[in-house]
Amino acid sequence: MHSRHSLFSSTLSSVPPYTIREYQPGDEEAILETFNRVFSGVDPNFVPRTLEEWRWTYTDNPSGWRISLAVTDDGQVISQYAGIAQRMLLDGEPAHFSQAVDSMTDPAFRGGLKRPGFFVLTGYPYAEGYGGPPPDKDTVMWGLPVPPAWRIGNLYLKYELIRTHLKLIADPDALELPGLGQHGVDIEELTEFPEDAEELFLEHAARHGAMAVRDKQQLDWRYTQRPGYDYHIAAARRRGRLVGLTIQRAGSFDGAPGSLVCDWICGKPTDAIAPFDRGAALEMLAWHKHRAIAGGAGPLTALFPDTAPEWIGFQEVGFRARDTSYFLVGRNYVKQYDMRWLRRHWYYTLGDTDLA
Amino acid sequence: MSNRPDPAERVDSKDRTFGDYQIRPFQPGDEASLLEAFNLVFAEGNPDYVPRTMAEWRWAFQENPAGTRIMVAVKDGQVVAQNACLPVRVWVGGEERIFGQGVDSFCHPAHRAGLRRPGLWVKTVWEFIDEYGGRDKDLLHYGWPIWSAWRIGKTFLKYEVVRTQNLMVRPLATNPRTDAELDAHLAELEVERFDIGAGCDHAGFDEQARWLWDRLAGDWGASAIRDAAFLNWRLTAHPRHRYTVLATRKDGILWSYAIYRHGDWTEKDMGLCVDWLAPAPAHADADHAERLHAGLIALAESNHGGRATTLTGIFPDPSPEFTRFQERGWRVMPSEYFMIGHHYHRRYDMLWLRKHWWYTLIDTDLV
Repeated sequence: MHSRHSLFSSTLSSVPPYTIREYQPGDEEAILETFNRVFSGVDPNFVPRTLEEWRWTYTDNPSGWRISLAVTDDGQVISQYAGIAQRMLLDGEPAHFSQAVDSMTDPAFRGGLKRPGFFVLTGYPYAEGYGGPPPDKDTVMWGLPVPPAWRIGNLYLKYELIRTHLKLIADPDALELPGLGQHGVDIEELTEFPEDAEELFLEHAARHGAMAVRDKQQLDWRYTQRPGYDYHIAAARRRGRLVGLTIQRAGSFDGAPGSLVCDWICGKPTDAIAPFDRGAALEMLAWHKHRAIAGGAGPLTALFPDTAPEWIGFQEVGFRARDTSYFLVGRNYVKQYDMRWLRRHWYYTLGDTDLA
Repeated sequence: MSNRPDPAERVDSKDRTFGDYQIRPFQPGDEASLLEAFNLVFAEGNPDYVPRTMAEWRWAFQENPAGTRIMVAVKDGQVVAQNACLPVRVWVGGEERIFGQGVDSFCHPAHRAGLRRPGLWVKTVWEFIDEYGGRDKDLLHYGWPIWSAWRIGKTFLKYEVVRTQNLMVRPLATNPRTDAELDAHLAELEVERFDIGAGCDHAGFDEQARWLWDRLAGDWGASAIRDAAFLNWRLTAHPRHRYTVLATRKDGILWSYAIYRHGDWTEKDMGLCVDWLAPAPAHADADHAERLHAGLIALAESNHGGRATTLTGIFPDPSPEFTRFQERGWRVMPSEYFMIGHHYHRRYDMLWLRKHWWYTLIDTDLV
């Protein structure tokens, strides 16, 4: 991923010579300088990102990083196309997906929609360099774009819609959770993830065609090591065996404050009817309920694919579906994993996104 | 059309010929040939297929009060491909316009082979779009395509997804009533009932339907005009299906209605909420909606038209009914369907439609 341009087009005649290339150590501060300038210009509530946060997002992620840059000869970052990598289990085999985030172009160098601008110029080598078959390339790239990014991504970068997204919300007081304390499940709060998280993840993943890896290393990175965010972690154990993990934090989703069900991993069913360990699920929801009430943050909000059993299960205990402004889009690099397949088989939660 | 390939691939713009094929709007006299090809294509691989009759075809395409939208490809006098829409009058942006629901598209199997993509069907759609779509013509062509049609459509026809479609489903208790018992219960709710459609002689809706729609349509950015012309074509004159109308009145004037049918759709023996036009929860007359809903559940549980264990409908997820129906025991379920569209005015793109377009099952040809 390395190409040299002296001029992009006559309309961008003021562009200095630049190179489109992958991130290199040492680019961090230039990336951040442009990032903070670009996003503070469009969001009055924007809080500048720190170097520590940037490193956590990209170089500290155990699944790797994905960054394509347009950089001037003097080191200024004109544009970035970036993604958060995810190690995946895809049809039971190791694979990678990535979530497109933080894409930006310095407003001084933006091209219009009709002529591919830097967003697209950095996006092409990103797709070419990182997209491809498993296990090492990203089989699927995905995102929750704002409308302008969606229009460009759809037109130039082959992104397609996977799902228009609904959320599940509940007044914690209104949740109906039968048989609490009678399921043989103990709930404990944790400050870091247990080693047997991976075993639980494998149980959960076996019910889905695609799921991002949730082992101790990945979960600790996502929830206990993230700078500036406080997550509460609960583990469900049945006779000492880990049968559920869930995470909550107070925060906003789609502009609505509340208590976010950030992650949800539940073990295999204990009977032939339930699609997951129902007792563990009820006890974990009770933990969410009590923590949400105690925290006073507002309604519980969860995000699941509507094809996941959790989508129905959460409605059965009092969650209700509401529309959101989000829509999930993707681009697949292996034919069989098209948007319809992803809609049917990919399990994800709020914690898969950068929104919680 | 920017999706079209180089000019050599295009249909001749003067006489709309493409090789041995002529692509042109439907003309009287095409009916028999069109129907023959249609029944042949749709019977392919479907042993349960019930051939469409000429009466059904005329109802769908010639008796629709909003008009006819058919482009055919003809070879040696035989219709071999079709792209068609069921147009519907829609109130959008302060004026009456046409949306068209794509239905019944086909290409005769003998005319699919030997053609490089884009094939004959795509070329037929291109001519359809040129004929009927535009800022000053049909504003939107929409549909719920099968996957193979979607793949062609997104590649060549500018199809975009409005939304992945969820269904609203409510479990039903078993509470069978005779018609007399049901009517007595509905009378307590001050809900009236009548059947319309195939085999019924009820006259259907009158001008009060439009009055009701006029009172409620201000809540929506776009919706099909539910007046007597539309409802009596879509429901009362339907040649195959029978529907039950539940209605409430205020001082004798129609104040809400629900349309129910028992039938097969995504599953066998479903209770279907075909349409719903009632004051939303924020309206002063929302009690009409509550009584109507109670009547709808009683009707569905009474096995009217057949035994159903669930009641299924759709509402756009931004609508107040999407929320209110969940409070009434309905749950939101996934489906394989997705609403797609090809819009002809930048203002009414998929994001706008997702937020502002009110539709229910009556806006499809599925029930």
